[in-house]
Amino acid sequence: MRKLLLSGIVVGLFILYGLQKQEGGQNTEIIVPQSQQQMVTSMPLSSTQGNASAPPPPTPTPAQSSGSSNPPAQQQGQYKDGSYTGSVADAYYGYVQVQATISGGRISNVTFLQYPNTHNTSIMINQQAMPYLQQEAIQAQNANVNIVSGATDTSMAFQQSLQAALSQAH
Amino acid sequence: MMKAIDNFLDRITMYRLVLYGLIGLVIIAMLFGFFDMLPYSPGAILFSASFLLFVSLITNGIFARVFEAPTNIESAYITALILALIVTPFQGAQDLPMLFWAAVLAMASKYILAINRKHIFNPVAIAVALTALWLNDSASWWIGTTTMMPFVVVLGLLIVRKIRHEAMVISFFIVAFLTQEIFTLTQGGNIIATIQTLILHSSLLFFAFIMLTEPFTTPPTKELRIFYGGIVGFLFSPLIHLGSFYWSPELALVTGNIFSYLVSPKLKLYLHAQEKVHYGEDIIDFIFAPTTSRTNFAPGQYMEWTLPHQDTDSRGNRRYFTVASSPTEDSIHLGIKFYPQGSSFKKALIAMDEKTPIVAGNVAGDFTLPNDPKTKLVFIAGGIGVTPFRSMIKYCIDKKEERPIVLFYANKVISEFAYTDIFEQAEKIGIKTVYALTDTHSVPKDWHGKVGRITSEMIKEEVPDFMERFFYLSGPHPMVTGYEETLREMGVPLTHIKKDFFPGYV
Repeated sequence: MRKLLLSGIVVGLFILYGLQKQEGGQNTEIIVPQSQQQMVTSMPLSSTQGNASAPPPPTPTPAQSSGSSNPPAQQQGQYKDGSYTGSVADAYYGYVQVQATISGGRISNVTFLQYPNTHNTSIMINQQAMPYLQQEAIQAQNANVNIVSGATDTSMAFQQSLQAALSQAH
Repeated sequence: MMKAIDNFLDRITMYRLVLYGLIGLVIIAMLFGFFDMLPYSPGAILFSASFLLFVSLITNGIFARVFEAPTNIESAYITALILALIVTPFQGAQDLPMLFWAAVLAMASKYILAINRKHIFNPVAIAVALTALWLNDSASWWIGTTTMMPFVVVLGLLIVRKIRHEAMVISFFIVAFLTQEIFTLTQGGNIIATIQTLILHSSLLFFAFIMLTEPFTTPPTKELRIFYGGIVGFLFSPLIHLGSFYWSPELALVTGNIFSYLVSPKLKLYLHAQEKVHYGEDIIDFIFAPTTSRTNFAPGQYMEWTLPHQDTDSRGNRRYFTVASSPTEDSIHLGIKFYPQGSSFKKALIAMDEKTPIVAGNVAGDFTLPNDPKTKLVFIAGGIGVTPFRSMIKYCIDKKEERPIVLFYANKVISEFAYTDIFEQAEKIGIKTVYALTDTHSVPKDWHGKVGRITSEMIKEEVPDFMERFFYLSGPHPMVTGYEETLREMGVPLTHIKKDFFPGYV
C-alpha cells in the first residue's frame, strides 16, 4: 500500500508538472529575430530573449577554426553573383544544407534548405543557432563562423555546407 | 602491460571502477571548463553533480525504505554522476526542474518499473527518455566532445575489459556506424565526416562504454548480448523513426532493455543457509535450504547475490558467484574462498545463519557444457575455480550423461580440495580427475596425484588426444591466462579454449 502511494505520488507529480509546463510553454516560445544587424559575435543570444523559462541559450565559444568576424578588406566582393547550394553535411541529429545568395560580389543571404528538425530539442537548439550562424556568415563574408556551443554539430555542418556553396562562387 | 591492467581490474569491483572513473571524468570536465576548453564553468558542473547526487540519494533512500529493498548505494552515486555528464550543466534556475526530475525518475524507475524486484530499464536512459517525451527537456550528452573523448575511451576500455563484454560493444559500434553511414549515403553526404562526427561529437562512446554495459539490463549469454548490441546500435541513429516518432540514444537503450528483459531468465531465489562445509583454512561451501522455486539455470552459470548487512562497506552488498550445485539438486551450493581483510560482504557471508536472507538473481554466463554430449572436454580448475565444474559434473552424474571429460584440479595444499566426493562418483561414468598440488613443500608422503603446476607434459600424458578436445579454464585470472598460454604453445586453437569470467578477489 505504501509502495503504491509513493509510486503514485511521484508519477502524479511528474505528470502534473509536465502538463503545467506544456500549458505555460505556449507563452515561452523562442522568437529569434530574423534580422539582427546590430548583433556582434560576442553577444549572447539571451539578451534578445529575456525569458526566464526559456532553455539555456547557446553561447559562442572561440572559433575552433580560424574564424574572424572582421574579414580582411580584400575578401570583400570576391564572389560571383548568384545562388549557390552547398553540400549536405551531417549534423548528427540530421543534415544541414544551405544556400548562399551573392549579390554585388558579397554574401547577402544564407538560407537553410534543411536542418535537423526531427527531435524537439534539436528544433529548439537550431532555432536559436541558425539566425546566429546566418548573421555571422554575412558579417564574416566567409564560412569560418564561430561554433555556437550547444549547437556544435549544426555549426560545423553549417561551415561545411557553406564552404561548399562558396567554392562554387569563385 | 595487459597483465598489469588485469591485475588492477581483478582487485576492484565493477561498481567501484565505474564510480571512480565517473568522478575522474567530472573533475577533468571541470578542469577543461576552467581553461575554457569546455563551455561550462567548473562551478556549474560541480553544482549539477552535487544537486543530482543529493536528489538521487534522498529519492533512493525513501524508495528503499518504503519498498524494503536492499540498496546498493554505489549504483545511486553512479546514476547521479552519469546524469551529471549527459544533462547540460546548471546555467540558471530554469535548469533545476530538469536536473531534479532526471534524478528522481532515475531512482524511482528502479523500484516502480520493476517486475519481481528486477528493474527493466537502465535508470539513466529511462529518466532522460521520460523528460524528453513529457517535459520536452532532453539530455544534451555534452560529454560527447573531442576534448573529453580520450578520457571516456580509457575508462570505457577498462570497464569493457573488466566485465568481458567486448563482443556486445563491438556489435553495437558496427551496427551504429553502418546505420548512420547508410543514411549519409542516401543523403549524398560525406562518409568520413560522419565517422568523425560519431566519434568526436556524439554520445556514441560514452553511451556504448558506460551505459550499454550496465550489467542489470544486459542479456545473459554472449550471443544474446551481441544481438542486443546490434538492436541498440541500429536504433541509436537519431534518424531511425516510426512515423513521426524518432529514436534518440536513450530511447534506443530503453527499447533494447525491453528485449533484454524478455530474453533474460526470471529466476530469483530467496535463500537461507542450512550448512557450511569448510575446506582448508579459507574455503567454505554454503549449502542452502531447498526452495520451492524451480532452479532453471544451466550448470556452470553464475548468479548475482545480494546480501543485505549492517555497516556495508563501499564495495556494496552485491557479488557475482558461480553456482556450485547442479540444477538437478534440491539444494543450492555456493563455494567461496575468503581472503584476509575481506570486504564487509564476505564477512557477512561467513556470519550467515539459517535466518539470514540472501537473494540470488540474474542468472547469466556462457561457461556451460556444449550441446553435443560427444564433444571431448578437458576442465582445468585452480582453487575455488572448481565450482562450475562441480555443477557440470554433478549434472552429468544425475542425468547419467557419459561425457568424455578429464578434470585437472590444482590447489596449494591438500586440505583445499573441495567436492572430492562428487569427483569420485564421477569416475563411474568415466570422468577422470587429475589432482595437482602446487606447493611442492607441503606434499604428503602418500600423495598419488601430480606435484607442481599443471604443465603441457602432464596434459599430453593424461590426455594424448588433447588436440581433439575443448578446454575449459576456471580460476584466478593470472592462472587462467597462464594455462591459456600453455595450451596455445601446445598448438590448441583459441576456438577450443573457453575461459570463465572470474570477477576478482573482492
